[in-house]
Amino acid sequence: MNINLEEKRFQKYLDFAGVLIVVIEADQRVSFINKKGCELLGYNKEDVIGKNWFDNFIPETMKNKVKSVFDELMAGKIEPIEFFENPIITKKGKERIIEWHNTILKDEQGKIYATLSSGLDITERKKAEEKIKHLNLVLRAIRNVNQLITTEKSCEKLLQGICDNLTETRGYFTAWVALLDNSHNVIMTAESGLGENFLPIVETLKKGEFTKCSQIALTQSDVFITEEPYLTCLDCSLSRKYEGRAAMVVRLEHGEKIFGWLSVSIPRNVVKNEDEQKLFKEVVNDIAFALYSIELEEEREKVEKALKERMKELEAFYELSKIVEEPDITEEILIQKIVNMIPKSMQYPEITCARIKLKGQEFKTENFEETKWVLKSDIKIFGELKGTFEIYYLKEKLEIDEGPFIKEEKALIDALTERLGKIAERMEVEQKLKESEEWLFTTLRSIGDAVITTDTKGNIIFLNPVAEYLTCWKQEEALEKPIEDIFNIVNEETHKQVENPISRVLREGVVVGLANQTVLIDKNGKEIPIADSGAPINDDEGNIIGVVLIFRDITERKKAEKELIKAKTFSESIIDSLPGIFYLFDEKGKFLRWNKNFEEVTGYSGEEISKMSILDFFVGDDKKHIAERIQEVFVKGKSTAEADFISKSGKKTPHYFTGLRMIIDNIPYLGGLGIDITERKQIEQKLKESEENYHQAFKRAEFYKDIFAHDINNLLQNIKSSMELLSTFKNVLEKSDEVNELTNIIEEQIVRGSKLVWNIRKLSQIEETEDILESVETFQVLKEAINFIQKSYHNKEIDIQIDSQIKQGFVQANELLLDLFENILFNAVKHNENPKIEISVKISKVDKDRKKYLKFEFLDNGIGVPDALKEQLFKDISSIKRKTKGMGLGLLLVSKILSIYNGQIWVEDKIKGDPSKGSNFIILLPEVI
Amino acid sequence: MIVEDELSIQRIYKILLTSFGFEIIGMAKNGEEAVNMYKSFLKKPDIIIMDHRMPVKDGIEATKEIQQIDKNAKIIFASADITAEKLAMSLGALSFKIKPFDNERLINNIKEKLGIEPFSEKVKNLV
Repeated sequence: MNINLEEKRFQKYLDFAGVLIVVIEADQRVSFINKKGCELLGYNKEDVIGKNWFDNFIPETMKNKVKSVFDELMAGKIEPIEFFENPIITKKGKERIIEWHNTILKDEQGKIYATLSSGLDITERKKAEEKIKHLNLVLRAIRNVNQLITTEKSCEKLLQGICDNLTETRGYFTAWVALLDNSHNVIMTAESGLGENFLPIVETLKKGEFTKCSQIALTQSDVFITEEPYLTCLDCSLSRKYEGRAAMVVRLEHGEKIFGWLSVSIPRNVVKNEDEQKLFKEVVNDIAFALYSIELEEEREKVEKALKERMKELEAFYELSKIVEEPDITEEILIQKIVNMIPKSMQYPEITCARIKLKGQEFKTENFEETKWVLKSDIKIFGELKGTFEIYYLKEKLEIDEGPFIKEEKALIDALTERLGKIAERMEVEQKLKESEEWLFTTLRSIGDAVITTDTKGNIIFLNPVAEYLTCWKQEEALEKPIEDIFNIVNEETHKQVENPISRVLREGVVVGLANQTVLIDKNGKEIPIADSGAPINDDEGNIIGVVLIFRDITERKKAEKELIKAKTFSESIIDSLPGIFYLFDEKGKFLRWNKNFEEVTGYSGEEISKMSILDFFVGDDKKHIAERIQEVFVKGKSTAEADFISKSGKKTPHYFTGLRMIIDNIPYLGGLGIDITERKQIEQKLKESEENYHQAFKRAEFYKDIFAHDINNLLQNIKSSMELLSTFKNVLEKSDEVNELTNIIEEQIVRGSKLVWNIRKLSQIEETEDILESVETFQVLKEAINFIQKSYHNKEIDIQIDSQIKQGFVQANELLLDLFENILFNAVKHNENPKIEISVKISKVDKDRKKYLKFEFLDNGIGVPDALKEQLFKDISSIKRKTKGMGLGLLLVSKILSIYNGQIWVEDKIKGDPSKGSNFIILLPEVI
Repeated sequence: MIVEDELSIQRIYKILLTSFGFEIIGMAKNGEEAVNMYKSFLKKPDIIIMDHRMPVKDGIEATKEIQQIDKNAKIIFASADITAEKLAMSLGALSFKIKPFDNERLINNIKEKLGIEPFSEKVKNLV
């Protein structure tokens, strides 16, 4: 009984122990467990006793290990470990960490038959220790991270360092971070503890496909926890690494900017720890701050760099400005200085050289060498390419912005080039302006007129030497004085003050001139007649900025004017007194001057003439002729012409015109005289007629001579032949008839000869003397002529009858009427072969062409006139051909006499159509009633 | 044949030539008449005494036309117009007598051209 009580008491004592006590037999079954043990396990005693301790109450992961220790203990291979820790599994499946104190139980024989283990539940202590440990690790990690943050300026290195630190200090199992840009694209990643497993994630991140946890974390500021990613994030390739682990993801945020997110894996048992989360959040915030700082720093550096470059640019421009402002600097020196200052504006001055090519010249730095690392910019002056600005690096440098030169440098060079272009433009303009000013100044100073300029208030700015002379004011004295003080003008006659032209210019803004008869009173009171004009000086916008007054002493001019007026009056008198017409006109024919005669001859008034052209006074061919002569004057200097000058009434008067080219005020004019040549023309006409008459007379004389010579030769031939035959036939009785005939022939020739001479004389008489006609009775004259013929040809039988119904007839004639009738009758006798010559003279009165005539028809029985000869017989000698015989001198005389009498003559057949039967010479003489 | 417009010279030619046994087969008063007359002759005259200056047609023109009819026509010019001599000779006139000329010369010239005894011998015979 005592043993049982003792056992029960012992059992009670063991149950009161605060530790787990368990006895495990050699077969690994539990033979005893105390109350604490049952409480820890959560089993009733009955459920535990007899069960295999290791199979039922030790976690699978530890089973073999613990079992092997037990086996070794039971085998006596190892001594019991004082304190041995291993977990047990409760009924609820939870693990509790137990710190075991093990003892082996031996029987009397000393054989080990069981272990007696007391175990203290150190689960909470372990948790706390782990937590502390973990926190320490985290803290260390955080400390390292903070150190990193303060030292690392590279974003990439910072993130990688952070991830490494977080895992290396074993605060976390794995860590990875993703950085986003402003467009929410992943621009950078870093990891630690994931290795190659991270690569697929990087790919998907770059595609914009974020992990679920990342997506959630980006939407909240708190830490996002995934307790069992291994189980819940099956679509994430990283989840394989999260077995037994939890994940925390939080966004990297500072201010309002989200830089990305950080994801870590940690022990599951600590993930829910608030302190853990807080620490994580803190480190993440620090990281975000670091990123912000880096960004800021980068920004700052950028700005600083930009500022630095800008400073370089400003310095370059400042230096450029200083160079430009150097007094009297030439373009060449300027450009050389510019090119020398360039290298120090570049990021690598020691390897920089420069060259400027401008207007055919080259300017280089001392170390200049052409290389392939060049920056060029074109220099333009007034829009035209004039040169280049070149910068070379002598060594290769890292390519930054499409080359070794940064864009700021490119911009600097472009700016400098542009500036240089502007400077060159400005220098050119300044040079031109200077030249222009010098020219203007020289011109003003050397101009022959006085020049005064004032400002808009009328105060003197400038006096040229002539103005100084005329006003007797020196420029330095007159400067800034009012114009009225210097330029005192009055009317020459009244001596009343005249308004200063400058006042008027300022008031009206236009060019003004002085009134006539204005005199300037100089400083000494001397009066000088002047002529002047004032004009506004305007700026580019048309605003008046001053006035210029130009004036001159016209004393001499006035004198000259008076002389001129005098000369003009004199010359006008001369011109007006010139014989003929005087004219002065320009190349267009417009009159500048003419004399009174011109008006009188043309009948046009001065006003009318002033509006006319010279060619208005000519018509037809004369106009063309005159135009050509005018042209000749302007080209060759002088010419003459003759043409009819047309007056206003249309009367044409022949004139001889002279033309001389004159230059008046640099304009060519034609000046000349026109002389009426009517009289001369008449004389010329008369001379011409005389010449013509002489020529005709000569021609006639030749003609007469020719006929006379021919007739005389024939006459002589007749006489000669007759005489020779007579000589042959003398004393030859049988030839008595021939002798008689020959004698008659000789006689006839004598008559013919004397008639010939008579006719020649008469012809001459007609040519030489003026014909005075009077009323002559024709019948008487005819009878006289008949008598003469009959006497002359006394050896011929000539029967001449007058057949007339009128007894008398008067015609306008003279003594030549007798010759007329005689020659007609002679002709009729001469050209008659018949032994009896019959001539009938029919006289009648006829009306022809409303005129009254006496008609004389001389009908003969002679040889007649062939039809071919009829028309030719009485033609003018000028149309007669020498080779055929026309009329003889006798008929020629008849024709001449009839032309004086205005009579007519023609020949017809006596018997119409049969010339061989004789002729009918018909004469018409104008009757005197 | 005689071509002469002066009637008195015609009369003299007639006396002269017939005295020397020449038969005058025709007398024309101008060149036109001469050509027509020449055409009309069946037996052409042995010789033509041609004046030059005549009405209607002159001696030169008449000569040309007669030569067209008969290129062998014998023509002696007897004219006061010396200017026609060169042309007449170029046309083939046998001679050109310038008025006034000797009767004997004319007759001798005619005979020479016709191949007959000269005038002076005949005159001697007459006497």
